[in-house]
Parts: sequence; C-alpha cells; structure tokens
Amino acid sequence: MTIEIRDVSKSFGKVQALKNVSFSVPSGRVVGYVGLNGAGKTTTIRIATGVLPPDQGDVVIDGYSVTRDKKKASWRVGWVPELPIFESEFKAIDYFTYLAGYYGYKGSEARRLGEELLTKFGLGDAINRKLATFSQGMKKRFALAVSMINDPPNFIFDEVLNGLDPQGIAFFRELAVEFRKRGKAVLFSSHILSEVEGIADIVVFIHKGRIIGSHSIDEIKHEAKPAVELVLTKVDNDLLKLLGKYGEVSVVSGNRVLVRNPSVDSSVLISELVSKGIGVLEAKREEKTLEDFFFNLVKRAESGEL
Amino acid sequence: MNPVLYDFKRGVLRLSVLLTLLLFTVSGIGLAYLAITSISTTTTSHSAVYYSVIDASTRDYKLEALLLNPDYRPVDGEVSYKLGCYNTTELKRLESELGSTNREEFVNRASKLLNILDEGVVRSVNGRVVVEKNLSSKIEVEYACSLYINTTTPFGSSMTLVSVFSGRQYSQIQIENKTIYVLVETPWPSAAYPIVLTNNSMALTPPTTPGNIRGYVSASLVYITGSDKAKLILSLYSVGGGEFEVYLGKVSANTTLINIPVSFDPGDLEKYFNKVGVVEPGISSLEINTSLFNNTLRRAPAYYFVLYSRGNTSREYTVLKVPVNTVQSGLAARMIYMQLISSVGLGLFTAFFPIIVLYLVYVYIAKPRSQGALEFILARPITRFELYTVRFTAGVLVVAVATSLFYVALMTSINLLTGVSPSIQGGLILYGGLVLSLIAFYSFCYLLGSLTSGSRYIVASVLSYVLFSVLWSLIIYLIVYFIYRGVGVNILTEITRIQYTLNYFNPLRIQDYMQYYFMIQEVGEYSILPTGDILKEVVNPWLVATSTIAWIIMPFVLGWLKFRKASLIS
Repeated sequence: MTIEIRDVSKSFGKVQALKNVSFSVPSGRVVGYVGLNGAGKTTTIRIATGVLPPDQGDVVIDGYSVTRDKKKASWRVGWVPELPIFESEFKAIDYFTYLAGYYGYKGSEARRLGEELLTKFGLGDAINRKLATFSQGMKKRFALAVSMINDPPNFIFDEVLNGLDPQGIAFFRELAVEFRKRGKAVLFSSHILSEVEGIADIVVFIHKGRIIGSHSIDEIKHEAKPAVELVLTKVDNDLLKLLGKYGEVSVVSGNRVLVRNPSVDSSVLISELVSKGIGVLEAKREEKTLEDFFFNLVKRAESGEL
Repeated sequence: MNPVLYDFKRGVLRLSVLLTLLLFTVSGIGLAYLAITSISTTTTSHSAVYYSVIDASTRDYKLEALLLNPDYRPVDGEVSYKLGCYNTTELKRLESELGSTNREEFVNRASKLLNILDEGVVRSVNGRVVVEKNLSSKIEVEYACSLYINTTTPFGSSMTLVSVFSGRQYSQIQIENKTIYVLVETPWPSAAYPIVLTNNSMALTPPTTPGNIRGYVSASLVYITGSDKAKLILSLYSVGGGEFEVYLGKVSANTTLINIPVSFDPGDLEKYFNKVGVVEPGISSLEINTSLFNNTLRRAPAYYFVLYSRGNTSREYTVLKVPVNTVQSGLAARMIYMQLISSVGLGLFTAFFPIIVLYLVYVYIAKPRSQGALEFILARPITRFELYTVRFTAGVLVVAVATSLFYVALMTSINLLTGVSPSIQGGLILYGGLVLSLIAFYSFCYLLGSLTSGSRYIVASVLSYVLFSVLWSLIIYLIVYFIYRGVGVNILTEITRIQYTLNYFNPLRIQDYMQYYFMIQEVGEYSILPTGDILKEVVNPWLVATSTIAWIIMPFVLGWLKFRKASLIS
C-alpha cells in the first residue's frame, strides 16, 4: 500500500511543470505535499491518478504502474481533487451509478451503494439533486463518495481544504487521520503548511516543479520553535551547560549560540549570563512559525542552496 | 452496467437526445408524407375503376370506385365526386339558338343547365369506395347525367372540370318502363360494351337496339412484365343481376386471335373460348394464367372475351375485344423510390440530421472535455483508450438507434400509404447508406472533438457540416462550370460524373452510393438523370467500401493519436 512517485517530469509546451520529482507515500502514513500555487502539486497528483501522462518517470501504486497498468493502479487509489468537475447536468445518484459501472457494479447494486455512500458522506439530502447545484464542499464529498466505491488502500487529497467551511475542513482532516489509522497511504496536498499540521507524518515540499525537501513533521515543528540567538564574549562547555538549563542549545558559529524554545524570557537569560561574567555582545529573538520554515526552504531553493 | 451501455443509455435518456429520437421518428413519418404528397399532388391520368347506377324510378344511386396504383393493385386515396344532370332538350334548344353564333354565350348558359344532384368526398378502404344514396331530386327521362370525379392517391391526382361538356357520361337503359343510368369504366381503354339478350346465337359484334341492351361492361386487360398472371379488370352492370361466366378467346402461337366465326351457338363457346372465371355485377378482377395467352401477351393487339350469363328467365352476353396493357413490373415502387431518394425525400434527412450528430459529439466529448469532466472519469479503473472508445461507441449506438427509428417510421409510413416496401436486401442497403453516412460524420466530428474543445469544436464542426452538406454540390458545380464552360460538353453530365467521383471524399455522401445500389437492387436501374452509364463507370463497390471504412476508421484513429496524450482540462 504505497504511492511511489518515481523521477516524474512533465512539461506543458515550453514550461516545465515537474522536474524529476520523486517521493513515496508509505502505508499507514499521511504525507503532506506542500508548495506554493503553481509549484506542481496538482500536476504531480494528476499524473499519480493516471489522468495525465508524464513525459518521463512513472508513478507506482502498490506495485502497479499508472502508465503501463493504469486500470489496476487506478483501482488502488482514490482521489478528491481541489475543484472536482463532473458532467454536472446529471443527478448525483445517476452520475454515481454511471461511475460505479467502471468498478463493475450493476445498475441497482450501484444505486444502492450510491445511496449508502452519499448518505455516509453527508449528501443524503442531495442524492436526487443535479450536480450543477452542488457547492464546492458538496462536490468534494461527492468525489470522495465516488472514490470510496471500492475503498482503495491509497488516497490522494488535492488541496481539499480550499474553499471549505470549518466543518468541511474538520471533516476532511479527520478523514485523513482515520485513513491513516486504517493503514492507507494518504497523500495530502496543500499550499499552506499549517493545514497539514496534525495530519501529516511527513511533508514533502515542492517549488517550481522540483522537490526541495522532505521532512518529518516533528523535525519541522522542532525547526519552527522560537529561539534566542546570542553573540557572546566566549563560548565553552560551562557556558553551554548553563544555557542548557534554559533551552535546547546549539552553536551556530564561533561565539554565536542559539537557544531554542527558551523557558525564560530573553532578558532573564541575558541577566543570568551577565551575572556570571559572560559578556553578551548581541541578542536577537527569533519567532519562527511553520510557514517560516516553509518560506525558508523556498528562499534557500531560490538561492540555489537546495 | 457496462459503461458503453450506460453511456449509451444516459446519452439516450437526455431530454435533448430523447427529443432528437422523437424528431427522427416524426421526421420519418413526415418525410414519407412529404415524398408521397409531392407525387400525389402531381396531376396524372388516374388509374381507377368506376361503377355507378342510378335508378330514375326509385332515385336509388350507387357509386363504386376502385383506386389502383401504377401496378394495378388497390391503393387507398380520396375520392371527391359530383353527380350532375341536365335537360338534353333544353341543351339542344340552346345549341340551336346560340351554338353557331355565340359560342361563349352558349357555353355560359349551358353551364347553368347543370343540376348537381349529389356530391361528396369519401376516403377509400382497401382501395374501394362505395356510396349508396337515395337522391332527393327526380331525374326525368330526357335528362343526361355525368359523373365528375377526382381521385387523389399517393401516385397522383386527377382533375375534372364540372361542366355539361365534360365528366363521365352515364349511358341510359330503358327497360320495363324503367330508366336506368349506367356508368362503367375501367382504366385504359375505358370503352363500355353493351350487354344484350341472346337466344341461340352469339355474335362477335352483338346486335344492339334500344330495347335489347340489358347492361354495360367495361374491361381492361393488364399484363405486368415478369408475372405469370394477367389481370382482367371489369366494371359490369346488367339488369338481370346474375353472375357472368368469362371466356377468353383461344390463342395460338402464330395467330393471336383464333378464327372465331362472326356468329356462333352458345353451345360452341368452349370450342372457341377458354373459361377463365365467373364475375358478379359491379367491380371485379380476374387473374388469368398467362399460359392461356400462349406467349403472345407482348405482341398481341387485343383478345376476345365473352361474358355470358345463364339466367333463369333470360340469357345475356357480350363480346369484348380488349387490348392488352403491358406494364413494367415495380412501376409503383419505382415512382416511390425515385421520390424517396430525391431532395425532398432522404435528401432532407441527410441535409439536417448531421446537425444532431455534431451535437452528440459535443455532448459526449467536446463539452465534458472543455469542462474538464473527463479527468474525473479517467481516474476510475479505465484506460484512456477505453474512455475514448466508450464515448465513441455510445454515440455510434445513438446514431444507429435514431436512424433505425427514422428509417422504420419512414418505411412503415410509405408502406401504409402506398403498399410499397423494399426487399430486405434493398432495405438494408438504403438503411446502411444512411447510418454509415451519419457514423462517418460522427467519426469526423469525434476527431474534431479530440483536436479541439468547447466553442472551437462547435465552430469547426458547424463549418464542416456546411462544407460537406450545404456547399459541396455548389463547389462542384462551380468547378465544373469554370472548367467546362464553352468546351462543348454536357455540363449536367460532367457535374454528375465529378460529383460522384468527389463524393468518396465526403462522409455524408456515402448514402448517395448506397442509394444508387438500392435502386439497382430494387428496380434494376438508377436513372434520375440520363447518367446511368456514367454512374456505372464512376461508382465502384470497392471504392465505396474503402471510402466508407476510411471515413469511419481514420478520424477515429487520428483522434486517438491526439487524445492519448492530451490534457483533459481546459
């Protein structure tokens, strides 16, 4: 139960949308896929779901290639797009029945399943409504219901929280967590890192069609803690031991020391150092958020560091 | 449900497509009526048998008519009639007064002498019309009566001027203090032969005196080429009212009429004649085996017939010399089919229904593609090729069903209206032409739907329709005109030649070739224009098959080559 993106590249005309993108989504894990708008998230996902052929590389779902064994691969992956588009002149139950035909369901059996799944995902009152009358949230729930026809072991949510009300956001976040509990491999894309906080185990960052990082959520949270950067007259073991009482200490360079997640205010920390005879040449408080982490990555990617 | 069938079903169950199917069906019926109406409104010499009797003493009036198609088979239609009588003494007086001096005044005043005693419009049942009435006006002995009758059948209409100088004249029989007016008429020739009493002698020319005439009969002998039966159609009235035996003069291979004496004894009837049947007074028809004509039907000018009634109190007879009317088989079908494949027949279907086809492609692929709706479908366990073929096949099924509905409605209507229906093979050829043309155009539009989407598809497909359906003939005409003007060739012939040559390059013209083969199959020739031989040169079955297959397969394949890598969002 894995989704493996293997060295995928894709161009639209002269614009290269993806460049050698590789990462994997293991079973029982939620992988957040984060990037700015236009970074290549949706293109990656369209390729992963088999609706867009890659120029190079492949996506392998549970061992089945989406380019060579598309039917088996598609059978094993569900997809809720950011903006689901249907032939909207149809009633929800009719279109569900039609799509269920591709999973081998007969008419009456498909209708029964449709009624069950649409009701389960909160569309019980809209079964006989035309899809054209559905809100974005309802369309996403409909796409979810269709994707759950065969309860696939892998799932892809593409910017699914966009445009949803708080109730809808909570619904899809809880659903992703539930899928993880059930051992599914879940790819959850977003352009806001904090959206995947509390859901994702790993976050893969993409920028301008290139993967610029893959970090566990703990690592990201750790990096995102507030810190005090100090430039001191001297740095030795005693000093580091002393600072260790107030937070996680690391030497940045020379006499430059970083105290992460300080337990006291920076003024208290400076007073304590001065009282011990250690000169504080410079002190700077850093308030980093998850987004800072993300933008820092982007900045580093832009500068060619990554 | 299988996605192809589901796509087909959901395609069919759209309101727009249901209306389309209804439109196809109604069009089939409508086109049948249109085609038949354009023939039926053509004035032709009518083919009908009439029998009418007026008993002046009782004022009983009877009119029977049997409407016939060009194959001399009963056909339904409408009969409008007027019975007019006028005083012959008054007419003679008027003629002596004005006839030679003031013709206009004479005609004007004579027309006012005509008294319409009865009139009506009657629809036939199985080709027959029967009117029985008691007239309100008395008919004096010096009156002459005429029947003004107009018939409308799917094969033409007749027009008769209502005037003392026109119409079908009744013959008057004076017998036993009664005056009876009799009108008997069969299709060509429409002469009425008197029926007379006989004692112990019959004559080839029965002697007629006013008191001797007991009735009248009219007869037509029809031979349909290729048939083993000839048909004797009779309209007969006799005072005796009994049945008549019908005898055909014996025929030898060399002399079409056997040497019958001028007069002979009734006991010798079978010496010179073969009995071919028995008829009742009124309208009747006898089928006579052609062997009795000894292979002379195509060259004999006429045959003798004797009608003989052996009544209890009186014996009546007449001798008829009836020319044979040889009719080419399938004449009715030929008339209908020529109309059917003309511009007011199937031409209308193929002119307008491609619009529905291009709309179908819009519904199945161009619109969902421009919306981006195909991607969500493609995320199901289905390959691109399956998605491509499923939608193609569903559209083809809709086209086939719609065309079938149209065709069945059309042919059923034609059959109900005219009794004409093609052979299974011919019917399949004609149907095949229609459905293959539309499928080829569907395939072409499908290619456009794969290359473009949304409004660009609409523009491209409508332009294609205009080119293939509307401008095609005009372009060919202009090409031929500018190439051949002043060269001294028959422009019409060259247009036909080039049109049928270039039609291989037009998906909607596949049906033109199928219509050609249909006519060859059903009536043995295709001669809408004097171009039959040219078409034999140009229409090649292998090229027709190749063109048809190419128009269906190639756009499908080219479309796939584009579709297989295309982004399915707008």
